[in-house]
Parts: sequence; C-alpha cells; structure tokens
Amino acid sequence: MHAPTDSHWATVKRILYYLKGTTSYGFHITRGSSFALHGFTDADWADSIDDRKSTGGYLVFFGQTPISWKSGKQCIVARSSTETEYKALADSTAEVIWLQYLLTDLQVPLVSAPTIWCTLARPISQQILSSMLVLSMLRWIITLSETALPRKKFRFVLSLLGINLQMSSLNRFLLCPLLLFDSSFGSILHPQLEGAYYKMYK
Amino acid sequence: MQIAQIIVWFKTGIKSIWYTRLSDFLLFIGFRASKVDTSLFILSDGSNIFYLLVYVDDILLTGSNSAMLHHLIQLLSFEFKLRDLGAVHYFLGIEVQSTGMGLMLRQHKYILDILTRAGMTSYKPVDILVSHSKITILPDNSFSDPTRFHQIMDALQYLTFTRPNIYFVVNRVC
Repeated sequence: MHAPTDSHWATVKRILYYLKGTTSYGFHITRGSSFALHGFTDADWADSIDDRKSTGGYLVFFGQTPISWKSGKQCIVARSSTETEYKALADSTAEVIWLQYLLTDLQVPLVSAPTIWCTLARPISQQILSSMLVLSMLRWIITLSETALPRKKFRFVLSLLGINLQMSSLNRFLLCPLLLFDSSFGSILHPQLEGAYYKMYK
Repeated sequence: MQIAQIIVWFKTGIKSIWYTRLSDFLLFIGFRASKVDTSLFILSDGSNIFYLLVYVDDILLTGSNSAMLHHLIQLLSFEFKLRDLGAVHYFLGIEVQSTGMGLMLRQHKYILDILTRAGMTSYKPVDILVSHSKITILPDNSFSDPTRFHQIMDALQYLTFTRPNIYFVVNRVC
C-alpha cells in the first residue's frame, strides 16, 4: 500500500476502536496430550464487490491450540465456488506440509496423519477426493518450482511427500502438467462434497 | 510435557562474536541447530527434550525436565555471564501468563502503545470488529499522513500474532 486513502484510514480507525475495547483479549495455548494436526479451510465465492475476488482462509490446530492461520482475498478470480474452496484447500495443504516438516525438526512425534477439513457443495467419492488432494499438492509444487516437472520427477516428489500414486485420474494430469496452471481445472473434476474431510495419505 | 521457561540475559558485547561462541558451546554440550530456524537449538536425550531460542541477547529456554533445565542454565552460567530472569513473563512485546491450563499470550501494553501513537487514547471503545463484507476501499482522497499510517499498519501486523481475528481486516487494508 503506497498511497493510503481516507477510506483506508477509516478502516484502521475502526480496528483501533475495536482494539481499545478489547485490550485484555489474548491468545490461549492449551496444554494437551494430543499431538494431532488438524487444518480447517473455508472460502466464500466472489464476495468482494470491488473486484469479485473470493476470500479464503485456513486455521491449523496442533492439539487444541491454533498455531497457524491465514485469511485473505485470493489472488485469482475464481470461476466457480468449487474452485475457490479448492484454492483455500491447496493453501492449507501447503501450510500443513510445512508444519509437518517443522514439527519433525522439533522432534515432536505426530502419531496420526494430519487431517484437513473443508466444506464443499455435495458428497464426493474417496477416489476423487484423494486425487484432488494430490492435485492441489502438485499444483503447489509446480507453483513453487515454476516449471512443469517431468513425470519421473513428479513421482519422486510425491514419494517424498508419502502420497499414494494409485490414482487413475492422476495420469491425465501428469501427462498434461500445463493443465495444472489453468485456474479452471478445479471444476473439471466435478467434485461433490459435504462435510467430508480430506485425509492426507501416508 | 512439563514446561518451564527461563530468560537468560547476556552481558557480553558484540553480537556476531558471542553468537558464534554461544552456538559452538551449545553444539559442544549436545544441542543441535534447528534446520528451520538458525536461532533455535534442540537437545534431546531420548526421553527429554529441550529447546533454546536466541533473540539478540535474550535466550528463551524450555524443556520437559525442570531439574535438567536448571542444570543446563548452570552449565551456561559457567561459560557466560548471564542473568536468570526466571519464568518468562515478557518476550518480544508479548506478555506471557501461566494459567493452570496452559499459557496466555497477550499484547496489552503493545495495543496501548499503538493507541497512544495514533492519538486515540480518549476515543470511545467498541467491542465488535467491522464486518468483512463492509470493508470497501474506495479510490478517494489520499490520506494526509501516510508515514503515520504505515507505522500503525506495521504495528497491527505484529499484533495479529495474538489476535488472529484481526488478521483479515489488517491485511485487507495493507
């Protein structure tokens, strides 16, 4: 933000009023015996009236304590509500993988695979669910490396992440990695999911 | 895991020199450097684990065994001049308070500092944050004091550590 306007300042003042009313609020780290990672994601669709971008976010719990969060406008304009949920899911997956790495470095034993919870429209089969998760990871990996990786490297990276590769729908995307850059590919899969959850595959 | 925190204050001077000395010493007594954070050191003997975090000349030390923790502080005090500040109550602008259930992190004083800097101490407080959908940033008149705006925004960014609920609106305005 290089040139703040009066409306920016009005919003900042509003935050400060709120902080003044809630100065004693804090953040509680709860002692607990569970060392499980749970990520929760959600997104709206094209709710910003200025540019029709969606807002998405995630909150990751370690035991009973939230340890990582993000909430903000997505950088793309999503063409379907599925796509925006999907984007939020991809972001949280990347974060959970990073936290997994961090906890391993801190020598914290993770007894179970991390769980990522999300809300999408209608029920979906486990098969598509898992392939979607793999795709979101692939997308993340590709975005990081900014190049389409050859098939062999893909498999190697996936094996590092401990991801199950027995997914038929995956091949299509492996053969055509550029498709992953297409922001509309989320809707190709026609996901239907409600209250279902994603389990990361060990 | 039982948690005890001790802040240690070093009297020694130039950072880079004593940091090298400190890290050499820590590695010597069995710590290993963390892969993700250069200022974090980890000591594990199988059943117990200790974390040592260095920030400039403050050290935060925590572990799963308080007797061994005191032993570690003694070891450090043989090697360096240090002051043991006891259980942590203030670190990097964050107030830490131990509750029976865990730890409470607050930035109460930090918020008051922001309000003073913004000249808003006498303003009326509200306890409801603005609704997300109501935040519209219009391309209207530019604000007269951008420096002050940026200072306050930076401070608010740091505040999101203990106040995740303002994360969205703060980043929306940035």
